[in-house]
Amino acid sequence: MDRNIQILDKNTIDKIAAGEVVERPMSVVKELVENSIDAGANAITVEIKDGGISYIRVTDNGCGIQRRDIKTAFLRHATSKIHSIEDLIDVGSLGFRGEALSSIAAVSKVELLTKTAEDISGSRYVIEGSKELSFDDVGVPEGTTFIVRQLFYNTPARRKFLKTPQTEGSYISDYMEKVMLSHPDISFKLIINNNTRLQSSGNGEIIDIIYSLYGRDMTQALLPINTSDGDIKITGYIGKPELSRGNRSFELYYVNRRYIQSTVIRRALDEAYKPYLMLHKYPVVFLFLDISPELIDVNVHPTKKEIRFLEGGQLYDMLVNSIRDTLSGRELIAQIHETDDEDNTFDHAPENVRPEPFEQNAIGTFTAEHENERPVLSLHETPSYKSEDHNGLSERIEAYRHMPASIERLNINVSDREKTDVFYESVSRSDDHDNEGKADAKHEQLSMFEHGFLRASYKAV
Amino acid sequence: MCVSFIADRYGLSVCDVTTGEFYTTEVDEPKKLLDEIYKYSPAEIVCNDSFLLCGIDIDELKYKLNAAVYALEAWYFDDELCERRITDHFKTDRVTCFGLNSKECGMISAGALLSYLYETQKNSLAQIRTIKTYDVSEYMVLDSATRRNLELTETIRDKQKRGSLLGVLDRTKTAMGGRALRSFLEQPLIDKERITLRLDAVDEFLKNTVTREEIREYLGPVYDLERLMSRVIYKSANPRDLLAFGSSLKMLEPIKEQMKDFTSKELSGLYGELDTLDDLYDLIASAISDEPPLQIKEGGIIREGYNETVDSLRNAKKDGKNWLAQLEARDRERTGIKNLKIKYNRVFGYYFEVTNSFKDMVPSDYIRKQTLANAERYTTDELKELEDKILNSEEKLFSLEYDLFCEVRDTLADNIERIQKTASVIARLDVFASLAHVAEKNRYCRPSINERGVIDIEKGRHPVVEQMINSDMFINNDTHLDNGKNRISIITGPNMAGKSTYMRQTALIVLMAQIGSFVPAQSANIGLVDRIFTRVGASDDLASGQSTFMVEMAEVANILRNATKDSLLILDEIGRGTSTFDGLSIAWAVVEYISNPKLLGAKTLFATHYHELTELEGKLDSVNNYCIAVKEQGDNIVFLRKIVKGGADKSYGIQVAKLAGVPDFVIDRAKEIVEELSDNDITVNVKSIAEKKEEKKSRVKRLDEVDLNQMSLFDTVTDDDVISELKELDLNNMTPMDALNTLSKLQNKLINRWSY
Repeated sequence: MDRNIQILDKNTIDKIAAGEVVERPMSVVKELVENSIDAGANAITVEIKDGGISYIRVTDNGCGIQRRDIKTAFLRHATSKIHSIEDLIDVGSLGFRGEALSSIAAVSKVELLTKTAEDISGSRYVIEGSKELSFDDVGVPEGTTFIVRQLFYNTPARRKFLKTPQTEGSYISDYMEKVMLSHPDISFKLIINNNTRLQSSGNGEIIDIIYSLYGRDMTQALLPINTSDGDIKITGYIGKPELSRGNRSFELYYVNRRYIQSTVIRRALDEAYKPYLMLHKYPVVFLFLDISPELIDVNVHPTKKEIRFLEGGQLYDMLVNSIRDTLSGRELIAQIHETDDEDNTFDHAPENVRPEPFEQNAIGTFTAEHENERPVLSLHETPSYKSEDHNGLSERIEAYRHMPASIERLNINVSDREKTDVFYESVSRSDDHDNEGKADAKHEQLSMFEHGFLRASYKAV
Repeated sequence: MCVSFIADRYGLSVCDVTTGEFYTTEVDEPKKLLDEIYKYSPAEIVCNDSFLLCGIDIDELKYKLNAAVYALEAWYFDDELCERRITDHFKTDRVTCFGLNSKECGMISAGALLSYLYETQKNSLAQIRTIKTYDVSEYMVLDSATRRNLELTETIRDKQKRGSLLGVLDRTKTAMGGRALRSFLEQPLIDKERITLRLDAVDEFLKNTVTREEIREYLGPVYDLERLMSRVIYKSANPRDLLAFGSSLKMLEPIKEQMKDFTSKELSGLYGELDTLDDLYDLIASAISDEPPLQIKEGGIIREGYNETVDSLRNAKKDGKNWLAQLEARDRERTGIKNLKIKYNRVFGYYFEVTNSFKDMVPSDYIRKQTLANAERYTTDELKELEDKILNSEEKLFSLEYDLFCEVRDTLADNIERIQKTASVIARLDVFASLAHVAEKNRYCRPSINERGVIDIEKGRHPVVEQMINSDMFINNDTHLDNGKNRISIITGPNMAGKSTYMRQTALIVLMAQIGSFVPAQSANIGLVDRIFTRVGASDDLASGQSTFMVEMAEVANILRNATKDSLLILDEIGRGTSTFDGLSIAWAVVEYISNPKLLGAKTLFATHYHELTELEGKLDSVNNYCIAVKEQGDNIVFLRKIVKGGADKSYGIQVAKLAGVPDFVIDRAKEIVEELSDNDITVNVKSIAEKKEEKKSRVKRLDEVDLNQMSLFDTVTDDDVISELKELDLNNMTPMDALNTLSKLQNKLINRWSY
């Protein structure tokens, strides 16, 4: 046997490199869907047969590929998303390494149907194992369709390592769920063996997608969350503690609309829910983080799943605080609903009611007594909710007014000391209902809320 | 259905006895009458004598509808009787409340129909609560050919719902909703405001996905209330029906709860109108047990706790059973017969059964009742006493339960008006939810409605075909039509390239918009259309002795005579089926006629193989040429299915034939012949004709000539028809009355020649 060192032939290089990017049908779907999203499509359909092993189709109504660019597209390191390394910093698109199409074409039989808006006729390009077979005109709608057949047909070793069609199909399904949530403004459809399994409308409402994916029970136990702090914005829904799960599979978070995993966030979630959940129980969260691209490094992992943050600590704090606020604020909303919401006869809050400043909270007693219980405040007075009031509560309530789609910049002045206390902020939650005076205060809280808001918040809750 | 023909007006009333719907209208033209009849497709038509003689082809009607058509006696149609019949049934003073005072003919048909129903149904017809009088001008007119060609509710090929527009739009959860959607489809609106109200409702449902899907979940278990109610009225309802009713009513409260935040006028109106019938639900829930039998005279119907007597009788029955058990045990001990049993059958009642082995241990007070092969059956006084008690109480129980059941049923019957109202609210809700669900699933957009007659569709798709091809590969196309420079689109291009689909999709999108549904397009601005006419597809009607060409010409004639400037015409290949010159000339003349706003001026999509017609674009300024794009690759053609501006210059017929598999030998020879024929191109001649058209005077004159010629041609044919009938009359065996009737019938035929 010849044991000299030699350069591999192109075919082999392609196949090996392909293995990095294309591990399984799900990777193919992911790459193609990301391309579709980058192409500006607002409707993307994925169809698979046999778990995606024998047939994958991804159709989008995006900008299509120009006829003259088709052949180039399948070359390695060819991409329209960036032109130089500087672009990488600003990369707004999901795909950028220029590896996907060439990898896919190296290990499968690909058929491409595409048409741009300007052209009258579309193109059909067939390539098998990196070898071009045909290139014709064809009648197709605007957009692009990739059909990938017989994945790994020319690398039997790889093929053997694939799991059963059901399993592979479930990976694709999981991926589709995540991408649907991260892009609620795009209408997705997943068809498995001729049955439409998942569909989203593209109307921008995350809650609709959650409802159609996970059902009424989960949807009704979610709370909206909406907070921002300079470079970081957090929106989405967090589950009430009763929605606890045995694993992290429902801790879903997206950074700049990309589904990722992150240790920082994982730890923040653990910390935020610690007073609420039992050991080894994890919450349900759907979080969408918008972070300036300079603060993130995406190029860490080939599949772009793990990312690193520049300001991890800031993110951590922000997450913990806002989650805890929401969870505690939840009781506020729930109680309000119990009262008659027609009782809006008050025009203003009474003068003598002022928020208890943080410093006056009996913090020490609190932490000692209520280690694992739901927090109970020891306030004696209720705050007013005049708009001039800069206590963060009224602003948070304002935030609840809007569905997460719109993000508001809030001025939460959270000093270092108060960071841990913000959780116990001056929320008028008199748990001692026997105190008659509080009842009035509760009504006053009502007066600040408009009818519609109450109903809207109830709907969300 | 009942039709009355009186003094040149036709009254029409139609009723569905299973749901209680009753509609009445009045028209003045046989054409409109036939449109309505075909719309409802009744199974039975009764009429007055004059209708049979009015000149409409009754046999054809019978054949096409597969319906029974016959005349009732004249007294049914007496106006006073009819009026009385109506006021009596609906317990009103006058018929004005139904809008029938101005529609005398309609009123008569309504009264006659009621009388007929009383005679045949033999019950109170309580489910008919009201008469809905309408005007045919309230809705878009769709003749039966158009309904069929557009495949609104069933396909042409196999008359199935799947593959029709209804099949695509119907995702209703209740039977009532399904019926309501069908009637939406059959009666598109022409009033902008009404359409906008419906669109707002669909829009609101689209924006509130969660609410909508929740409501649809709750609608699932709702049964067909209307049909259930008719069973209640006919007193044929059984306890299970009432339970079904109850479980449907249970859903009303949560549905209403979901609706409370609606803001659109239509939906918030429905919210206000929805009577949750709580009292009826409570009645059924408290009265009817969970698993009643099908028989109504054998008890087990009424729930415990509803009626004291029932409960005590039941206890008595139970006690009776206990007593029997006790007696059995006691006697077993007493006699020592170990397998002594007390059994029951209908013939002998209760008895002791003893097997032959123990026969001799039977005591003296046992009276033998029956002997069997291996056992003997006895009774005793004690047993007889018990038996009487039990059976008596059973009898009483059964009859009491039956009475109570009837009471519940009758209470429901009394509330029929409320129930029908609720049913119609639910039906409408279901329709809007279904339309929104489909709009979301199939990615439709909201059409905007204008009254300027502009039809502007961007990236339109055919709602049915795009679902059928199932792979997102439907190629969209734009449509632009208006009442000015874009009145007529002449579409040329090869067969199978998508011309028909394109034209049909335009018609369907307009229709969907006027129903109040969203449409398959990126955006759509729809000008209101009062009628849609289609002339597509081949239609041999050999059975009635008409060739394809004849049928098509009759349809064209119908269209040209009945269309208005607000109509939408879909014409596919006018003039085929006859010689090229004749066909081309007819097509040409038709286009000229339509494009002239003084003569017709309707919006038209005109597909043709005569690419000579493309000459008209320059000459008539409201005509535009379009063609279906194809790309030639050698001998093969690639269908691009895109509509582009400009005329096609080739028909690619030969290429399509090759695709179809016609042998190469034939194809090659055809190509040769095409070459030769092109030299003698009629295009040149045609061009010169087009130029001559510029002279106004001659154009007018020619039109009249053609017009007259056409008239005389057809008149000749008609006259022959009538003349031969006259010839065959057997005057010797006719009474004067018969003769007069026949004469009248023939005369009407001549007058109403253009109905078909």
